[in-house]
Amino acid sequence: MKYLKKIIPVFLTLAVTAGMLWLVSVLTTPKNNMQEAGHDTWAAFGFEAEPENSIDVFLLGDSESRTSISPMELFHNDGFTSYCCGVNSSTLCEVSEMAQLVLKYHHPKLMILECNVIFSPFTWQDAFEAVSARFFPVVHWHNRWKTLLPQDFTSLPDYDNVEVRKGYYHSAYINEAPPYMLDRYMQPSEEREPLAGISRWYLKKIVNDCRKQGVEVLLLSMPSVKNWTSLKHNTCSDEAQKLGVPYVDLNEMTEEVPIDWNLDTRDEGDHLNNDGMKKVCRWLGPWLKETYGLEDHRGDSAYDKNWTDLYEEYVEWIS
Amino acid sequence: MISYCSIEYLLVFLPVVFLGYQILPRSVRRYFLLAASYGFFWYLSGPLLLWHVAVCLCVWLIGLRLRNLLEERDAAVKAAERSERKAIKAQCAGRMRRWVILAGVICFGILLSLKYTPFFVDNLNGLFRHLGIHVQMKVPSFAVPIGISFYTLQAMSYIFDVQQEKLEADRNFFRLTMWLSFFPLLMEGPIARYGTLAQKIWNVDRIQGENFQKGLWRILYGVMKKMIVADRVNSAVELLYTDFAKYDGGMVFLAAVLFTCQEYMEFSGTIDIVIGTGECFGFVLPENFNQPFFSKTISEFWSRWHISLGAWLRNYLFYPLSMSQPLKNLTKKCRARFGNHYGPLVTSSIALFAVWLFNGLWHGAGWSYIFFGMYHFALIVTGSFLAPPVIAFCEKHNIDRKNFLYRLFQMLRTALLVTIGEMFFRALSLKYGLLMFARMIRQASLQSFADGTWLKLGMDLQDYVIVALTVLFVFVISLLKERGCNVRGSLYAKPVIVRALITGLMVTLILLFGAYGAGYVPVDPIYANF
Repeated sequence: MKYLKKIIPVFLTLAVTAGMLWLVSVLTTPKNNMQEAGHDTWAAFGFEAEPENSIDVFLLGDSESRTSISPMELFHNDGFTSYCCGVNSSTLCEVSEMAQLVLKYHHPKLMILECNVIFSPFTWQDAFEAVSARFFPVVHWHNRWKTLLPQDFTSLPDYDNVEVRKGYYHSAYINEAPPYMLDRYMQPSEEREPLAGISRWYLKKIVNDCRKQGVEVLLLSMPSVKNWTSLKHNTCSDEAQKLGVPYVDLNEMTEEVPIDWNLDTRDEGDHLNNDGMKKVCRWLGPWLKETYGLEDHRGDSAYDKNWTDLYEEYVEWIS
Repeated sequence: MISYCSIEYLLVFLPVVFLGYQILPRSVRRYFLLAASYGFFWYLSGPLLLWHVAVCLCVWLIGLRLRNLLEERDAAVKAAERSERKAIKAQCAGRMRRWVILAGVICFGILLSLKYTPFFVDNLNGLFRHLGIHVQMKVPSFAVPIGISFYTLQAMSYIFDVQQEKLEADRNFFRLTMWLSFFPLLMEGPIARYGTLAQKIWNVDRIQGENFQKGLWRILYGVMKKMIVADRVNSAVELLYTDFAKYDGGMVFLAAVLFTCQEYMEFSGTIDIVIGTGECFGFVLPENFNQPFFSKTISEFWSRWHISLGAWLRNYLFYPLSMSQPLKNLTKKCRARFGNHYGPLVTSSIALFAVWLFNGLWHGAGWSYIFFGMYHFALIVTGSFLAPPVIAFCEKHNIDRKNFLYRLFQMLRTALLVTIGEMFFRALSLKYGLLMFARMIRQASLQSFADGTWLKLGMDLQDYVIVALTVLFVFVISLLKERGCNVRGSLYAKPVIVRALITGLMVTLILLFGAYGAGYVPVDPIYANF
């Protein structure tokens, strides 16, 4: 009885706190995956509006991932479905959370991790925030108290906005890479870019989480003059070997993916533009389809609504 | 930099220590607490903790030597004739003084070498350049252990107290070290005296439910101050102090107000977390703030703000200086010449000058900190000199000095003077501080408020509103405390469900309105580098 008297207040406090946090979480979470609903990364979360298990390939990472591949382009050319869940300035702990969410709704054949995100620094505090946000989304959405809408008080979150670009961030700008960057781009080196212990741990976690669900993992480096180096390539190559997953570095494949850094970049070699993306898709699509035996859904009426019928709208977007 | 408000401290380190402390047997508990404190120190400063161990060893050994000298003196006095006793005591005092000086040289020597050498060398180089002497020394750069200024003062307070026979030197090295390294006190104080804390920590009594609940509320209150106010205004403070030349006087004044607000919320919030942590264990740590913005004069302000530093300076610098023979003689002469008010004021000003020079330098190795000390020295001395004519003026014009409006005027005046002082304290250098002050006066304007510039500082209207509401909440709590209300005591008397609701509400408000995550840079602990 004495023991119970001590324990009850503790559990009551925890329960009341959890209840209050759940309430404010429901209140602050955007009610739809749309900018108008207050969602800051609506495009990346559009996969929740896709029918369950309808996506063959997911692409995780930061802005490099969402500017280098267009799922609509891949579907139109090669017939398999994919989705870019990349978020600008993302970190591995956030990517890990995204992977968990993806695996909750879909069972893809392949999960691609764009490698630039592996080197984004983050702390245990960031990791803790990312994990807490899974249970109490208010941790992520707390700033929305400033912009709450009437619907936030009357409805529950329901992500049903089908994204036309499937997470791809389009840009037709041309802003060439400066010569000094091109001079040092992918200079051969035997050295390794240091990788934080916490990043290595998360990388392993993402791979293991996917494997547990029977999902294959591919490490992929997108072309980027500004961000990519031979040192990073070496580190990723080592990590891929340790984890037993394939690694493809498009920065080294200048014949297969002939990026012209005077024309195919929108911001001085940091990200690709639409032309650069098309060059990546032109090689990557057939390679993925063949390597992973991805099914061609073109002509399948189940994919008309969210894919075939939206292609024209997509073309309008990127033109 | 890690702070007491970080997840590492609040959600990892603290729960592990509480749990370990509660489940371990008493005989092991105190060593567990000591290991936890040193583990925390190591996490913050790495091998620099050896400097801390050196200070602990120094004060322990010298404390024991002082104790031996006192025991020898007592034995000698007991055996001696009455006429010889005075000489024996004087001889012992002299020998003790030499040991105290040695302790001071070692403790303050470490502090001065690590923290102030670059400042002194840089200024010496400047002086040589000015005098045309072609000698330039390399300005060294040392890594400084966390909280060195705090634990040095704490260590020296022990030596002084032993010398003055206010306490007996501790033979137990671990008890002394535990007091000097107790983890909540490491970063920002308060400077706790040995006599009030060491034995209490060493007793390591079990954690009690009431203490834990009240301590937790105090911690949450501190986190709220830090995360909702101090961190939220950080972007505006950074911007305004870095680019003040782009803004008019109104914005410079806003910078001073926001920083004063930030500093109070950060420092007092951290102290709330520190005292709350102690309270969870059942240890009563000294208060460091007593509603400072209710002060009517600058002197009163410093008896309510950073109380433990003020007490240290008063006990170990001001009183010994004021009571020294040369100043006593001078007081006598001045009293005869200038009267009973102004006479002692002249000599106490000399002691005060030393106190405020020390205070300024303690805050940091820089001219802006020295200026900060001298600014407050000037205000306090001016206030004392002007007190008689002000009283006479009020009496002549029938102004009731106990009237609410008059007291409100005094509080606002004090707050304004403090705010201006904080502007110099936060400025990037003394030169920038003076430029900011000049800009605030010469370009005084409300234009930036009219054209919306104040909303383009990384804070929108909602940010200002939530900051203002939180400050208002802290003001109400302060008002209740000022009137003697025991807020947490009253809340603890409520039913369990109400207490659970209060805890839940505090956590929810912190997570909802706290400035954390993407888009926010939390303010580093302002006093941790002192």
